[in-house]
This record gives sequence, C-alpha cells and structure tokens, in this order.
Amino acid sequence: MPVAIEISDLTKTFPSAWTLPWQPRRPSTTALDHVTLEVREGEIYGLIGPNGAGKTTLLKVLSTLLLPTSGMARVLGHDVVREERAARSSIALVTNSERSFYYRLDGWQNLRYFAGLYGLGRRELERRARPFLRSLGLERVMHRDYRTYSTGMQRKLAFVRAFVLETPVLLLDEPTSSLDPASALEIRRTISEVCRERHQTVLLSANNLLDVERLADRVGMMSSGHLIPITEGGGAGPEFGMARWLFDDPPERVEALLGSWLRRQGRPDVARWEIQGRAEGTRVRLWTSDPEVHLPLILAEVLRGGLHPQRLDLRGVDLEEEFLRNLPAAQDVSPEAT
Amino acid sequence: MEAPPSFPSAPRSARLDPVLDVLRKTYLFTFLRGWAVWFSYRAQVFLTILGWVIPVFFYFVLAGYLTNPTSGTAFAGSPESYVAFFVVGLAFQGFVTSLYGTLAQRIRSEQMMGTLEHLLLSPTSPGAVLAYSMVFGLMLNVLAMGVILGIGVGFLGVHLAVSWAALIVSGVLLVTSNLGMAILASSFILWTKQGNPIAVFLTLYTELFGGVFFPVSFLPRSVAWISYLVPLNFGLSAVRASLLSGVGLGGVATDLIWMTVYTAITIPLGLAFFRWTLRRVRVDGTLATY
Repeated sequence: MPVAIEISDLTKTFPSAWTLPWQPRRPSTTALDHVTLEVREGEIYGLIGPNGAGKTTLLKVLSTLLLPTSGMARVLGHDVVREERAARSSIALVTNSERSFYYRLDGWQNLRYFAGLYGLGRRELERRARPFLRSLGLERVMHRDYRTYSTGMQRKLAFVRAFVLETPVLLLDEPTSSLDPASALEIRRTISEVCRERHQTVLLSANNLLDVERLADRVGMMSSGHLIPITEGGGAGPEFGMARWLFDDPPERVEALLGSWLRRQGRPDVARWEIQGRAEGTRVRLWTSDPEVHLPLILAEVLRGGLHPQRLDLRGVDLEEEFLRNLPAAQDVSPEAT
Repeated sequence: MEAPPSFPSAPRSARLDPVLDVLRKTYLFTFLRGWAVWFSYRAQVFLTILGWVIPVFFYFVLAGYLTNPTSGTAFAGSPESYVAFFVVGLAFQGFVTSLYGTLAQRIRSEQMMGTLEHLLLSPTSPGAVLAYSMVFGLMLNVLAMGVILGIGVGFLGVHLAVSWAALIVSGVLLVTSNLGMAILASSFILWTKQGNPIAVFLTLYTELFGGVFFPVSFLPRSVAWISYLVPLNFGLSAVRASLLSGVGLGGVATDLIWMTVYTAITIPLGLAFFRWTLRRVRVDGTLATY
C-alpha cells in the first residue's frame, strides 16, 4: 500500500528564548528527536504519550505550521518544507483548542469562511456538511453565534470543518478531549466510518487511550521527543496483541535460544519482547502485530530448541500498561535494549 | 448516521476559476470576517463613526483661529481654503493610519482568537491572506472619506473641482506607497506579539509631517525636510490638487513619481520582512502564541 505520510530522522529543536545579558540563558528544547515513521494510505496511526512529549509538535510540522530543524517529512510525496503549499492542500487539521473559530460569527458563517479558503463554494459546502451536522447534532445550532456554543459543540464544528474539506490526510490532535462520553463515542464512530470509507489517512494524537484503542491500526508512543513503536505490522483494524509465555527453563537458557533467534530473525512484525525470571518460571512477553500467524512459527523454534513452554496467554495490547512502561526510559527503544 | 459523501483519493476541493476564487475570498474576508464581525460590536461602530465626524468640527473651530487675519499664517484671512485643506487631509489620512494600525491589529486579533494557524494552514498563500485582510480596512476608509467629504461639502462650504483621473491615480498611489510600511508593521506584530513601535511611530510621524492638519511649509525649516520622507505628504498634495482645483495628471506628476518610487521600494521590503518573520515564528514555534 502506498505511503501517505513519510517521516525520516525528523528533529525539531525550539531555540532558546532571547534573554538579556544578565539573565540566565534558557536552554533550547528538543521536541522531536530523530523521529522516523511511515503511515500508509488509508491507515489510522495512533500517537500516545505524556503531555509535552512532542505529539502536537509532530502534527504541526506535518501541517507546515512549524519548520523542522533537520530530517524530512512528506505528505503524499510533498515535502512539508520545500513544497509546503502542495502538502497543505492535502491536509486538514483538528487542533485541541476551542479557539479556532470567530466567536462573533455563527456556525455557517465560520464554515463558509474556512471552507472558502480551500476554494469551496456555499452550495458544495452545504452538500458536504449536512450529513455530518445532522449526525453530530449541530444542524439546529448552525445559525447561532459560535460564542454561544458549548465546548462539545465547538469541538464537533472543528470536526465538520475538517471533514468537509475531504483532504486525503487528517491530522487529529486530542479529538475527544473535553467531550462527554456520548459525544466522544459519536466522534469516534464518525472518524472510524468516514475515514475507513474514504480511505483517508489519519494521524491521531490522543491522551484518551480509548480513542487509540478503538480507532488505530498501529500505535506509537512519543516520549521526550522519541517515537517508540507500540504495535507494528498492520492490517484492516486494531488487531495487534501480546503473548505471555511461561517456561520451565531458566531465563538464561530462554534468552540464549529464543532471544538470540528473534534477534537473528530481525522480525519487523515482532515489535519487541521481554524475558524475565519469576518464581513460577521464566516469563516471556512478545508484542506482535498478528499473533495467530507469528506465534506458531515462534513455537516451532521454541520446541526445536528444546525449551519447555508451560502456558501461553494471548491478549490485546494494554495501552495503559504500555504507556506507563515506556515513560521512564524513552530513549531505550531497540528490541536489543528491551 | 446518514452515510457521508464518499471520498476520492485525491483532494476534491474545488479548482475554481481564479477570478471567481479571488472574488469569493474577497467577499469572505471583507463582508464575513470584516464587516459581520465589526458590525457585531455596536459600540465600536458608533464610536468609529463619531471618530470620523468629531475631528471635522474640531478643526473647523480651530480654523477660525488659524485663519484670523492677524495670525500671520498662509491661510490668514482665508478660512475657506483652510477648511478645504484639513477636510481633504482628514478624509484621506485615514487610509494611511488605518493601513499601519489595522493590518497589524488584524494579525494580532487572529493570534488571540487562534484562527491564524487555520488561515495559514489553508492553501491560500500568506501573502494573499495579508492582501485580502486589507480590503475591509480600505473599504471602511472609503466610507469614512465619503462621510468627511460629505460634511465638508454639505455643511462647511468646501467646494470641489474634481479631476477624476488624477484623483483616482493619486488615491491608489497614496495607498500603495504606504503599503510596504504597513506590511512591515504587521510583520513586526507577528514576531513581537505585543507592542508595535513601527505602527505607533509611523502614525505619529505621518500625522505630524504628512501635511494632514497643516501645510508642511508651516514647519521650521530645520525639520521641514523630514516631510519629504513621508509619502502621505505627496499623496495629499496630489489629492488636494486634483480634488479641489481640478489639476490633471500632468500637474501632479511629480507627486505621482515620488509615490511610485516609494511603492517600488517599500512593498518588496515589507514582503521580504513578512516572509522572514513568518519563517522565524515557524522556527520558534510562536505562530499561535500571543
């Protein structure tokens, strides 16, 4: 499948703020540190990570609102620095701020204004917007001033603005923040249905892990400017998983056989593994994009090596656990290191 | 949920006739973003109109003193000529002060409202966004000019003898010769967010040395030369000649040439600074901060 978003070795350092000679110099901040990522056309990629980890910075570089310090980013083959106008034409961005409309204009006026910047006329706008306005419950408030909207309505209008542009790439920053559960569900359902149907590529940044669990095909975690893949591979939906195996063998033996075999194989579909000695035996945790395909292959190798597996437990990736696990040592991301 | 429209792999956003696109954007920026928002602040509308009207009567009263035969000024004993002088000055100086102030203010308010990022995110180029943003301010000044000239002609006895070609060319050049500095001032606010020394300085400097309220010949010789650095001075000179005395293009050619020179120098300068500033704020990450 063709790549829609291509990011290679991307670094963004915010320069230190200007200070007077007698004031202490403020250090520069590296928000993105050699980030590399490919998102395929039609894929929904979820970005999680703590506040200040670089998620929004990554979206803003892709949307040309920020200039990267080094590295490369392309949207549908257009370099976001050298061909920024072409790149911008392919993107719609939903920011996590309510301050993105004119408070003194009503809903329709705001939509007409912003859609007009993309060359969209009134009739075409109405044709594209009505289904969304109806399903998100905004139709009856479109003639009301934006300043009278609740936070939920404001967020929904931002979605409608992005959806009507029908751009091939959608960048969503915290899509359901400050929404009640019912509205969040409605937004998630809209993103899922519309983007899948349109084959729209989505880069989704979220603090609400439920958004990512429900929507993303693959997930990465931003931490201190680094991108750590949580699930790799991909497919038609969020079908990554984690396998937990318990072995009777000592951890050194499991590491020598299974660990070195996985390393030798360099399997891209196995994101990483952990081998830990525990009271009940040696526990191996494997994160893989398609356990049903990959685990039999690994099991064959385990048996060939003479290891004694006790129990296999398969479950989906627990993003919350992943999030917390990746917080302290964000830099240490290679399978060898883990 | 009703099925939304299907999505093709390439953007379907309209590739319109360029003329239609320009007209649509002019409408959106002028009547939707400009007029509808401005008019929703009723107190501001009232005070703005008051701001057009009051100075006319204020200077009319002042004219009584300035044109006193014993005052020794160029207008001594000729109140009609001074009234016509300041009415035209007031009517046209707004184009310049509003260019310096409102464009920068517009950038600032877009920053405050958080809409600047969404403007610059669209395929409409930043330069075009700047150009469209000026239209409403200029339109409002055409209205102000009409009100002030109307008061002058209707109530204060100002007599017009118009040379239309010279007036239109002078008016256009009056705006373009100040445009570059206005872009410079708005770029400054994009960078510094608060405080715009360029706009403040230019407005004061222009009002003092631009020949708005009194002829520059009234200034002491040691500072009168400064007025030749103010393009408004040439603009008002040409506008007064073409509006009050019916002087044609040939008669105001010198003023027009000077304004053309200012236009040719300051617009590229302003645009270059705007590009530099835009790049700078995108490096610093301060595009949306205020």
